[in-house]
Amino acid sequence: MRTHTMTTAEGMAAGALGKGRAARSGKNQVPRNMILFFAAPFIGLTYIIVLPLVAFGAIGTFMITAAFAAG
Amino acid sequence: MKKVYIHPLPVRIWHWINAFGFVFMIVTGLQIRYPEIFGITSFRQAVELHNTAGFVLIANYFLWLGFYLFSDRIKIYHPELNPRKHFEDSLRQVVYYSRGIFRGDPNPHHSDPYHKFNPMQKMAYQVIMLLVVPLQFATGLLLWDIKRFEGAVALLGGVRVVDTAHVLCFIFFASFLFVHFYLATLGSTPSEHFKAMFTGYEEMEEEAGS
Repeated sequence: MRTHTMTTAEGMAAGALGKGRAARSGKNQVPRNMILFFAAPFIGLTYIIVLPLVAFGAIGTFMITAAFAAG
Repeated sequence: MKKVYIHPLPVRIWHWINAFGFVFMIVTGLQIRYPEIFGITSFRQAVELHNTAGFVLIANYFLWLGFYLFSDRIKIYHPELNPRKHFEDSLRQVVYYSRGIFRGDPNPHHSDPYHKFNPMQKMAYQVIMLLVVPLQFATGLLLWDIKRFEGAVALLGGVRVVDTAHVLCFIFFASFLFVHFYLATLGSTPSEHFKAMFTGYEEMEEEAGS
C-alpha cells in the first residue's frame, strides 16, 4: 500500500514536472512560431520566384542524363 | 479510410464568410467599375455595399489571424526551411498534378491537422493570406476614404497606384476562385473537400502499414 502511495505521488510529481516542462517549452515556442508565421510569406514568395528555375534545371538535368544514357 | 479533423470551427466560419464575401466584393466591384455594363444596382448603392462587405471581411480576417496566432495550428503556415526538401516535394506534387492524377496514382502529400497543405498550396497560401489579402484590404481602406488617408495615398504614389494595386489583387482573386474550386474537387471523391469544410472532418485513404 505504501509503495503504491509513493508510486502515485511520484507519478503525480513527474506528471506535474512534465506539465511544467511542456508549458515552459510551449511558452518558448510562441515567439519562434510567430516569427516563422510572419516570415512565411516572404520565404514562400522567394520559393515561388525560384520554383520555375529549379523546375527547368531539373528538366535539363534529366535530359542531359537521358542523353548520356542513350549515347 | 480514416476520418481526420482537418478544419477547426473558427477556420470553417472564416472560410465560408470569406467565400461569400469575396464573391459579393467581386460582383459589387464590377458594378462600381463598369456601371454601364452591370445594371444590378445603382453606383452609389454598389459603393456602400462594397464598403460594408469590405469591413466585414477585414473583421473576418482578424478572426482567422487570431485563431492561427493563438493556437498550435499556426504550424500549418510555417515555411519549410530546407529549400532542397521544399523543391523536391513541390516537384513531386507538380508531377502528380500534371500526370499522376490522370493515371490514378496516389497523392504524394498526406494531410494531417498540422500539415493540411501540400508544399505548393503551402507557399501559395502563405503569400495569399499574409501578403495579397492584407494588400487588398489596405488598398481598399485607402480608397474608401481618400481624403482621410491622403498622406498615405500620396506616399504610395497617388490614387492611380493604389487603385491599380487594388484591381490587380481583384484580378488575382477572381482567377484564384476558379483554381481553388477545381482543386477543391480533387479529394478522395469530388465532394470530399467541400464536405470537410462543413464538418471539419476529411476522409482519407490510410497509408500502407498504418
